[in-house]
Amino acid sequence: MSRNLTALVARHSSLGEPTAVELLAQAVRERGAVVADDVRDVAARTGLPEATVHGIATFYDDLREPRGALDVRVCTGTACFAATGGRHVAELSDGLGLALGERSEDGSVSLGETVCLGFCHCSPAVRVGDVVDAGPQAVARVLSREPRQAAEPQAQSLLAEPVLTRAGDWSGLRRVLAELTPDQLVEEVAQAGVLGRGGAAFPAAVKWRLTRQAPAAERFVVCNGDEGDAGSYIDKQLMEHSPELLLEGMALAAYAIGARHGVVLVRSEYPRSRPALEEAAERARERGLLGPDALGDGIPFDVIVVDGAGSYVVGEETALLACLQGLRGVVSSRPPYPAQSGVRGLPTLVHNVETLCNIPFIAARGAQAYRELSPGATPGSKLVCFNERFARPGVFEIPFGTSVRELCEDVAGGLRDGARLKAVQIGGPLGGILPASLLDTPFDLEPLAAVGCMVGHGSLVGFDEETGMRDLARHLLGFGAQESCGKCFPCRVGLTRAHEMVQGDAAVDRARLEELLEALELGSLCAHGGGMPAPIRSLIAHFPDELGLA
Amino acid sequence: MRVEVDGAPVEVPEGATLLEAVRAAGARVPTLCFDERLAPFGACRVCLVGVEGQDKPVASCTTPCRDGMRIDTRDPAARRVAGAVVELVLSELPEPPAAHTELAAVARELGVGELRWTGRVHEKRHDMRHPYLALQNELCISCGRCVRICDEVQGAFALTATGRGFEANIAAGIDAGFRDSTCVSCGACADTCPTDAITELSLLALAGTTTEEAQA
Amino acid sequence: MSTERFDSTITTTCGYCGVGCRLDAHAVAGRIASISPALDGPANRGHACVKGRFAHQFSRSRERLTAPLVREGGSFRIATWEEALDRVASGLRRIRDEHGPDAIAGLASSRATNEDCWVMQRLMRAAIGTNNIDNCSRVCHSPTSYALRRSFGMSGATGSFDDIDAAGAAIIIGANPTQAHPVVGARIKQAALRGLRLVTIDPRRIELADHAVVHLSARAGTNAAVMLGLAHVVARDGLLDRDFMDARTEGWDRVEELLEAYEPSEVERITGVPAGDLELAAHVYGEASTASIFWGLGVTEHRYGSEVVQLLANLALMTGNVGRPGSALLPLRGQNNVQGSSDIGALPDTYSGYRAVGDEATARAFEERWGVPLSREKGMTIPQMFDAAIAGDLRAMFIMGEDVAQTDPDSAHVARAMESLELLVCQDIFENETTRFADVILPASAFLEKEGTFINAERRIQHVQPAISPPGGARTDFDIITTLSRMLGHEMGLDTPADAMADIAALTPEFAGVTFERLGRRGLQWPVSPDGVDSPILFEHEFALPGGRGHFAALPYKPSNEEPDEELPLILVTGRRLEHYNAGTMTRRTRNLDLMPTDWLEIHPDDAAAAGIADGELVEVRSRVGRIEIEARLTERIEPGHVFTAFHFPEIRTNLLVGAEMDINTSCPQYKVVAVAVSPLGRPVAAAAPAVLAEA
Repeated sequence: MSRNLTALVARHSSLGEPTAVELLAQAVRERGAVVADDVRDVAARTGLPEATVHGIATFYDDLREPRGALDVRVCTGTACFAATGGRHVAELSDGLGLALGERSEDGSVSLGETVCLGFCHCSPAVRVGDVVDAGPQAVARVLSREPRQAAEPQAQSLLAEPVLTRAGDWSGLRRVLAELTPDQLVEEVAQAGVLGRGGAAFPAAVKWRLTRQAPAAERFVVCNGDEGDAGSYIDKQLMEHSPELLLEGMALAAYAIGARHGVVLVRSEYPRSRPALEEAAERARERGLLGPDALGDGIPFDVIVVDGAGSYVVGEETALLACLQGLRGVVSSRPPYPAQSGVRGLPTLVHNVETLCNIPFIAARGAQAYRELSPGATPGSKLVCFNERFARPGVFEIPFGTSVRELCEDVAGGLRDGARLKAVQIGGPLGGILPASLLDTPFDLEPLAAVGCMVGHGSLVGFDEETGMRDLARHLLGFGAQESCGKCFPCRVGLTRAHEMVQGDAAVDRARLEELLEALELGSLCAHGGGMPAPIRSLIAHFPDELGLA
Repeated sequence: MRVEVDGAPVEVPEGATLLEAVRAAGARVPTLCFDERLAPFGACRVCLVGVEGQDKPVASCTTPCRDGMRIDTRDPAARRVAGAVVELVLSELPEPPAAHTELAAVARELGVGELRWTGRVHEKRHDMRHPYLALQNELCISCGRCVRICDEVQGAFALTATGRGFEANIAAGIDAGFRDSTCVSCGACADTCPTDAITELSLLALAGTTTEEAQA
Repeated sequence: MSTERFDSTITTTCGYCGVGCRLDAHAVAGRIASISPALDGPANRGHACVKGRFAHQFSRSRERLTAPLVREGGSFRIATWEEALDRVASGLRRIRDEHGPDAIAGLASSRATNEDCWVMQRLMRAAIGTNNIDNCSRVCHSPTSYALRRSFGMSGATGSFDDIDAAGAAIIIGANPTQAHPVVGARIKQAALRGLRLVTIDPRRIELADHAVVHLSARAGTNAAVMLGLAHVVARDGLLDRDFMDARTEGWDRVEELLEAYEPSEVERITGVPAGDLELAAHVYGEASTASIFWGLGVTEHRYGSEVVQLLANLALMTGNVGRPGSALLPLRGQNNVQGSSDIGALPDTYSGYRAVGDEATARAFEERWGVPLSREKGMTIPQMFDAAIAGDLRAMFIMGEDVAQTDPDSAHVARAMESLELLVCQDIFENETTRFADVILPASAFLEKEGTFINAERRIQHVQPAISPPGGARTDFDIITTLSRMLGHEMGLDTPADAMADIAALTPEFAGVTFERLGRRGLQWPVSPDGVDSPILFEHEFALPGGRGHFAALPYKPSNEEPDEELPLILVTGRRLEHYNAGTMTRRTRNLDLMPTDWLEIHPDDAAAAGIADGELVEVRSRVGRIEIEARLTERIEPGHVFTAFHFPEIRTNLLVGAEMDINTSCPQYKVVAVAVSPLGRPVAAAAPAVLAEA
């Protein structure tokens, strides 16, 4: 991230003012596209250079394509792919007479793709304005201009006492403010052994210590609400149904590291998350739980929400920090770590939604109670979610260590209509693909890693026998290539080349593919390029013939 | 701090990067997105080296040295990946880079021959309206050097990265060319460009492409 | 840049502004193919600007002088070098014999090398026998030179450009570095983005003002009041460095007394700067642990320019901000060798190292080495030369590398002076406004074609090396002048510029350790001791004045006598623009002309409305001494009451407007305050001259 651009942002706008990304998105909402005058206007308002703003406008999905009065966004996430093999996209395209990314000449309709809307429990999903329709009839309803809001799943807990699938009650914060110093809270979190839930499973307390120790007048807590992993709708569930829990978690983190400001970056694919969070924040303010005395007399803490604008890589923490300052959501090399230099160049603690939602329990009940949630496995509990192929799709809170088979067969009830589970992709598009034969693998960090998979975000996207594995490879690599932020060379070019290799039906040179995967894996700057080979390697290992390797 | 580069000990100051240690030791790793005038960027991944005790090669330009580190510039995986990356980069250009360019030199140094992966290439797009600066978008490899030198050295902020993924490229101003941007014609972008995506018009002529041809 | 494409690559020093960028000049087939910044250049650190990097095509312009020209009747004809030099030598000899040596004067150039300037002043002093030698720093930074010698004892920046990075705060006054000194401007901007707390002071809202903590839009001509106001607040609010003042300065008492009158409200009345802004600025400077001051000709080219520089020095002495890293006083020199041309003594009153011509010991040392008797009488300054020429006392001038008829004030007066001379010799690379009056024109060399040294604004002596040869029959200035000296009977015995540097080093303590070899790629900052150790920071322990103490100057604000009135209600400020350089002789012969084809007058919309002027309209600008026509452009970046234009285009002849007013101590003309009236002409702006390049 450019230090100078960060300095300009800090100099010209105060926290809470709309970012350049948000202003550009506003222009798209108002006029259907970003034109040069919008760029100039946003540059003038934000103090950013015009060229920089132009660069921002060409980066994000929401800003790049022209929008019609009726804007149709079709979900091309993995759950929707598993549901239709992509047919819903073709049907919409044919029905509207528009290619993806196109707007009708009269400006009345536009069609674009989006990954993913988080309605994976009833794919395929289509968004029209702020209405998300989903299910087998969604396309038909959208084409007849009668979309209707799809139902949200109800989260369930397999635990005796839910940790995450509950509304926050702020008891953790109350206890901490009364009983613990910030250092004691950091120690408690360290004792609890909380690992980041965004995919990297990094020990939370290490970040807390680093951020707390970084010398600065101001520090930030940033919540990564950019749950871009296709097939996952866990953070969505938390933001929309347990927003107080998240706010409480942020307040606790702020208390521990000495922050006064919290920022949640919410992806624009979740139109209901921001209002839910803002309403919860307002309620908390009314009760004095946020605001000037949130963390004790005269110790303020408050939270603002910033919109994303359509970019998978923004889920990576350095790209996230760029996005929430209104810049291009490009990955930066570390060091410096966000704990040293994040928002406005100041020490910043970045956690994903679920991670922060773990903190109130620890604060209220202590580290030991937390560790006892998943005996013998990773501490705490985990939210998992299942796609529409399963009989009982939805979000479930589980203890770590449950086998994938139990999850798929007992919790989610196996595939619907008696279909056979061919494979399941765990943890998002960068997660490995577990063939049916390995379903007995325990759902936890190490056992999954041993079979080329990961916990990741906790999504389980099941594929039935209808899904062709070459098609799946094409789907995943197409996503990977499209979402590459374009910074590091292996990812920027390599994912496009990998995608090209699995186009058509021609045989794929296995050695060349593997050489390319190695370059991606070992060469990429972030987990996007580094992680995309994992599911492809799964396919090579378990479905070589279907992949058409030679 | 003392580190080892290919077995040879070298003293480096606190905060030095692996690349600085490599150079201090008189060893070499090629680079593409690195320019000593700029903050390390870590985009090209051509400067990968092996570090004892680490399972993956690391980008030497952005990784700080730790005391006692043992750096291997000849790490086979690192060299393999660096070569693959340069091949990938060459594969995005519609024509091979001119012999004098840094990219061509790095390709020679890494012994890159036939390209293993080919496919779509960048579309030809030129802006030759500036009296000194030529912009040839199809030669851009998104190393970010031009954008960064305009930001970190000149402070004109006339250039930006555009798009993302394979479409990532650069633009001057609101994609209106140098003349209609905040460009102050300092030429730093042309100086740092490793591919002639931005170069001096007069040097294009020297390379055999006349301005007229370039403009056509 | 990879150099394999080129026949040769030479690292040299830029010949444009005083930043002193080190450049790699790449040549193909005897022409410059490209120039790129040297990565190890101490001032530019791998950077350059549109002039240094690109504006080199002038070197092979078809308009280059490639053969000597001699006047024959109303026109010039080509002559051999022998004939041309004979005519010069015999003319000078005759005038010296008939009217005495003081009827002859020479002008060295701040664009020429130290070695060229050295042989030029030696030609005048030793071959002719007069101290009538001056150079164009007279019209830019002579007030700086005067003031720094008074306050600190040496005429040069107290620190280096690297102090930009070490400073916590900085004042930029009367300078527009991003336009006039682009590489340093960029360095300051980067520092400001990193947290350097800037105060900018100028009637124009310069680009760096956008990066400043506070910008003070002082009315032109009121700099002294601003500085006194800043000093008042610094003293009033306890920001003085008493230890430093006690140990290292003298004269504070009188200043303290004087400052009482300059309360912020009073300063606001004089300058138009809001009192609150002034107080903020004083605190920004006074509270920083390291603070520097940068200034340009917006300080010096005034009636009281030299006094304002002394007031800048006061502020530094009050806060102990001198002689430490990050605490520098750094004049931004306009031309590549403003510093050097004066350092080596191309001045009417001093030998090299600013030693008075009347100083017996110095004069003897020079007489002994040069083997000729030397005058103890001060010579004439440039303005005095013009007056003397018109009066008939000065009969011959030898002008090296200057276009006085375009760049000096009151151009009509200068033209009269030129016409009055019996013999005018111009040594230059192009014909210009001045050569029109010449009797002999000698074709010389550009900086890319010769060897020598330049001294940049941080006192850094840097090597200049030829990248290409002079075109056609042109010769190096060094060669021409040493030959002429020989013909006049004074054999200098200097075969190469390196010999000239040896001559300088032998006669100048500050240069004692300087040799071309020692300069290497990074140069040396004078004073250079005999063992070659140089001085990035001056006055670390004591000042170069008797007793080692810095001198406070108790100088009150005095209004300029060029106040606007009903008839001439606006103040014209002149300055430089990014794409062009001074008289434009070089940059107008490059494609920089394509980037900026003509000049314009900046005027505030309020003033434009009052005068009925529309944006882009042709206007007449009238002063007490002249009038010009120029396109007006409206901008809110200039204080109401002021108009601004540059002086790069001879067709506009901005300097026709500038009167005879000058700095009271140094005769530096007051280019920066000219009362004018601006009125619409009701005619369209003529299409800009086609930007045709006359390249060979």
